[in-house]
Amino acid sequence: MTPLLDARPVAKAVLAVVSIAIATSEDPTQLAYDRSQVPGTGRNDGDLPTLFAQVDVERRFDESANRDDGTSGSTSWRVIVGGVGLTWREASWVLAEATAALEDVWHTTDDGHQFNCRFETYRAPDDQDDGRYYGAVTFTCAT
Amino acid sequence: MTTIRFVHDIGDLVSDLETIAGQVRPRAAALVARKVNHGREVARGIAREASGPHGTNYYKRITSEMTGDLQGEIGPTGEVEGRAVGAGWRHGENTDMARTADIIGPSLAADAGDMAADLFWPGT
Repeated sequence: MTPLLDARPVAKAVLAVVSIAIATSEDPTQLAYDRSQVPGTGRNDGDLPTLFAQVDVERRFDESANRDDGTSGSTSWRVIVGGVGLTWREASWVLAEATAALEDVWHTTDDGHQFNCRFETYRAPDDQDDGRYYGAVTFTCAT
Repeated sequence: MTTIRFVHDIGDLVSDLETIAGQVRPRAAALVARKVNHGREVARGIAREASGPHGTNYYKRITSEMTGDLQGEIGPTGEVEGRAVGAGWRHGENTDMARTADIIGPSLAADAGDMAADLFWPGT
């Protein structure tokens, strides 16, 4: 399989999984967003969601690129899931749900690359300059 | 009948190990110090590259220090630790130090292996 050198397929898979994990029927905006596509930020239309996850995926320098099944991938990625909410509790909930959905579960990109997310760091939510709470959990994975 | 006689003496090995035991700690400490300094410069480079207009001088807050013979720390310091450029979620998570560890970790491991090899087989 051709090595994956583009973060977007990984991000798309992560966004789908986290969105499902935090979605509710009461608030259709309670989803996971690519950081550049959060409604109400930058030039994006819409109002800022009350509670949401924002996802970043960046390529990682990792010569081994190991997976949990003992195989080695060709490219490593760092997956960063930020939890944003009006309270500490809300932001923590997002991080907990995202972690449960991502960690130790195998995911597949649209073009068939499989990966599993391994926990790397956790930053507990704290209040930000705009009064919202933000925390982040990061994972690493290899495709 | 020809006889070949082997004489086995581990005296040289004992001597080597005694010498090595005295060299390990100072050489390892020097290696860690060198890597801590290298890591600080790597982290500063990443921070300079990654920071936006409000964080132009953030990289200057990344310092390093030895916290023991064989351990050191690299990271942002100062009164505004962790909030040097304000605190917001819009710019995502700062991964400067994680990226630094990705580079320095394997480099330290490789150099430690080379150091150990050089203790037993100098110059090879």
